[in-house]
Amino acid sequence: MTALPVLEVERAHVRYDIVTDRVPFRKVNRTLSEPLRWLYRAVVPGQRIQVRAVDGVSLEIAEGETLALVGESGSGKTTLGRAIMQLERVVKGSIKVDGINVREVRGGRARRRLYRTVQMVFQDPRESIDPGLDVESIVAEPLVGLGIEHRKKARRARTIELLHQCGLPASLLGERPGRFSAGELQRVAICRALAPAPKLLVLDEPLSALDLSSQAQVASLLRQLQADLGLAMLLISHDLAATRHIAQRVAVMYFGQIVEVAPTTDLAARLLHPYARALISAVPQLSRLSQTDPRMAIQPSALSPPPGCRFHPRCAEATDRCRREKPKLKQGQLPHPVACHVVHDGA
Amino acid sequence: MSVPLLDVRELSIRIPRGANGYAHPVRGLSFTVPRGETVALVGESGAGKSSVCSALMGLLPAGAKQGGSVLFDGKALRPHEVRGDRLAMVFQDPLGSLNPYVKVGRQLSEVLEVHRGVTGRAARRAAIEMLERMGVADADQRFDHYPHQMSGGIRQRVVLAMALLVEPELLIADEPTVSLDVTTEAQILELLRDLSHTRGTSILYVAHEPAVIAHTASFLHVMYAGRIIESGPTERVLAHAAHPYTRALIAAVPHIDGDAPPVPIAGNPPEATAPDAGCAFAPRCALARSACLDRVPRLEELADQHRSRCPVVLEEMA
Repeated sequence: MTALPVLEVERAHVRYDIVTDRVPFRKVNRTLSEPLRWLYRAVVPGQRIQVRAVDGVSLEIAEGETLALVGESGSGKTTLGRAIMQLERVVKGSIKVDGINVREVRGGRARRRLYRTVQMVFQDPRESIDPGLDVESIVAEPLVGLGIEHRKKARRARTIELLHQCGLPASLLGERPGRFSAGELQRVAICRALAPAPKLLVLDEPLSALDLSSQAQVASLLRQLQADLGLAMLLISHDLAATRHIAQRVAVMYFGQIVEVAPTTDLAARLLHPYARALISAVPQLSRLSQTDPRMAIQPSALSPPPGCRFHPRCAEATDRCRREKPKLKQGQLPHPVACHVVHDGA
Repeated sequence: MSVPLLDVRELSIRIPRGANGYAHPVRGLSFTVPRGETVALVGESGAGKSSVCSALMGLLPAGAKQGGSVLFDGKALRPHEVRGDRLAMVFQDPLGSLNPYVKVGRQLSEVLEVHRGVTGRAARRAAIEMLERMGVADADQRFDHYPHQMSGGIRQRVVLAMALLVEPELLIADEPTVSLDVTTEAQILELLRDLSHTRGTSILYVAHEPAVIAHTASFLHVMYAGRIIESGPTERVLAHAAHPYTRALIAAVPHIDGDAPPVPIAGNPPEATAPDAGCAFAPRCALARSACLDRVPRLEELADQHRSRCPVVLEEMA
């Protein structure tokens, strides 16, 4: 018997229109190197272009499970997280949170129901927390806003319980966050997100604005919450080393698509997609020198994704087939799903 | 032995804070940057790293008091005379160092105009050449772009190119990769390593964690509460850390292979306004004894060039 997944994303698409920069494109196109030409191919001055920020993503997260979504900036991972919170509009496919179809949520009541089920934690707590409020008002805000608890006494009791859960003393209640460290603030932000007792937490780079020691603190808090509350989490991050100790599975995203989904144990040995491997070898580590292929220096623009495999201009192993044919995310003979012709042919 | 390019001796900085208080972010800091070497200054936020950079660049806020001495090439450092010329700095956020309304090419050639008197075509050629050296593809096209048309990685390369155009003798890099993707970070680090090898540029690299500099800096100073608490050749310090804070910092680094999760350091560092009361790390330290709170321990040598400010560890190792 398997429980219904808390998060179910099926072939979700998020697109938005942008107006392009006024780049003198004809002149540029003649002189550009091959990979950069993809960047400019469709860039006509002042043109309206549709960006496929999330392009047919499917994933699931079970109760008590954490899935890390990793990739470079511009890969669409944050957009997907925001789409789950209905902060971006899904144009195709579906996103279900505990059975609620996010695309169909309309009106105050339905939205309150959604936000009791899923909450989000943002990258920089100094920007996501109002420095003028005291900790009690910050943490209890969702209880008021989502109509969960109207009695003041009960609200205070719940707030103290929440602070305790996040390893913060009740003495913080009346304090304003002005003098808190970023790590403490992030714990307050997580505390606030937990207030409506959600089943799913979307965390957008929750560690990257923090010091090393605070990072380890917040990471251990997240591990503990997952164990204590059976919380499902989507951990959006660009840091493979940090996420590896929080998440059970990792999904690697490139250009709006998932290219590999794997368990996080023994990450360095398991990941197969050339892009995932490039991400791993670039992580600075005490034990070894970070490495990168000069091809990785080119980051193609989302305005005009290359044909075939979207990673091929940066890939050392790309073949003719990669330049023509889009690889599908499939398992085949491999231990887990990968979207790469070369990896599948080698298996 | 030749004179080091940068010689900081007993640097201390006080900055007025509030009505009659002072913040004391740097409390007697001594270190050198030898010619052609990359030296790292590592510490968490609040350790005083940024104040050190500001002092070296002459950018401390008004009213700040600076004690001790800073020698640059054997003479007292006068930041306004050498900065942007013999001394250059790259900041964390490349967007903050670029003018959004001016094409990057103009911003690059301006540096040459002001400091070298090179103008027109010659300046353009030199700027494009430097962009190419920094690994910017299609540099001649990029020359006519505005900062917003570039990715973070390219922008940081532009800022590096700008700092290096005048061939400074010392480059101060204040966490230049912290806002970048890991892939771009790896490239920038490679670039810096290459720079010190091929051109003999000295680099002072400021970072909040040791992994990023582990294979880039030859010498490492660990800072805590305005003081250096351990220093030595990078490899040696990382392998045989002789201060509990350095050890804790290393244990907090997440590893991509291996199952041990990173270990947080309990408690918070002291405020920059706190008076000296013995070892600043003692309240968070598992090895602390009552004697640790009596006075600030001295930085003592335990092996060739390897120094630690922890008498407990030194005793243990002796």
